[in-house]
Amino acid sequence: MKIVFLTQLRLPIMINIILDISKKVLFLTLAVFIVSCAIEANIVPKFEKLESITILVNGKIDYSGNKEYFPRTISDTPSKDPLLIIKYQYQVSYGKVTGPEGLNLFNPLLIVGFPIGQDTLVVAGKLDIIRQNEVIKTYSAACTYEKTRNLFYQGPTFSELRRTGLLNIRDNIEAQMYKDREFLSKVNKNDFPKEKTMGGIK
Amino acid sequence: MNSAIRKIFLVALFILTLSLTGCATLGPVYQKVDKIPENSGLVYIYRPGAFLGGGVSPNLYTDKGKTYLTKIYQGGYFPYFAKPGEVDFSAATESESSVTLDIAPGKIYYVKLTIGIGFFVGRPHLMVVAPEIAEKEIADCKLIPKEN
Repeated sequence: MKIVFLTQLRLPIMINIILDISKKVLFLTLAVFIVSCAIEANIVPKFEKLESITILVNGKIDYSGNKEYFPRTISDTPSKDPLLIIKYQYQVSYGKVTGPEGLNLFNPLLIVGFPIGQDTLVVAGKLDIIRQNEVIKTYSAACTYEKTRNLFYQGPTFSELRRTGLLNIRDNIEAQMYKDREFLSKVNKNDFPKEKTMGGIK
Repeated sequence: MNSAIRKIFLVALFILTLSLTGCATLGPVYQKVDKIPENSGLVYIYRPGAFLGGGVSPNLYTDKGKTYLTKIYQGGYFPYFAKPGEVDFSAATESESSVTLDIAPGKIYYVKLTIGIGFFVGRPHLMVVAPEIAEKEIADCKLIPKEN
């Protein structure tokens, strides 16, 4: 009789305590999960993506990669003796940060989304406008991605990140060229102004 | 007594089975490929020995998962001649990992596979590695024979 009484008395208090702890654990779990499944992207220089694309410069294109990654503000004029040569190149670097994998086996926090590793990817692109063997203008851009993995979230693969990065670089260079459209309108002419300042990253 | 011996035997058999799972007869220790075919690049896909994920040997694919290349065993490497242009490699267990390379003719590339922790099974992780690092890591790896 006494036991039944005590249980009846303490049950609501115990439920309250359990609910209180559950709330805290849930909050902590959510916090860890949200923090650990983020992709941090950074692109320099900062430019807004163009809404519509117009051709800003014509020249012979010196680029053999995937055409999808090439700035669309340039049109190809294949000729033996071109006035302008437009050279585009990019570089992709990979990085990975992980602790000792064996230790993860004994880490109970993994179940609440504790990070198990981080991937980094850096994509850099450079576009040179060459006239009579002289670089008259350079546009460049770079972007970095940092992706944190956990048991519940792997995020995009390196292939997907690389593609996103190369498209962002393309968009960025297009925007830089658009900002320079007045200058670019003169480069095909004989009396174009020489500009020593490089665009994008110095 | 008989029951205890039987239990020990079963546990030993289970451990042996686990340790043998994923093992394969690998070929000779890493040697550089003598000649790269004309108009091709060479990609070494390798997996250094590690404590974790020894029993997991993911399949390696190219061409966006359409073309199967080989199983990548622990401590093994696989040389692959790729045509110039964008070439992707992928491996998957409970999650997928993939990398894409810009292959140039005559050039050599290194892709490393590691196995990380997963819910039910180890997860593959592919990464492009710089030659100066990769050449040290691949030195102890053995050739994964071509499958028929």
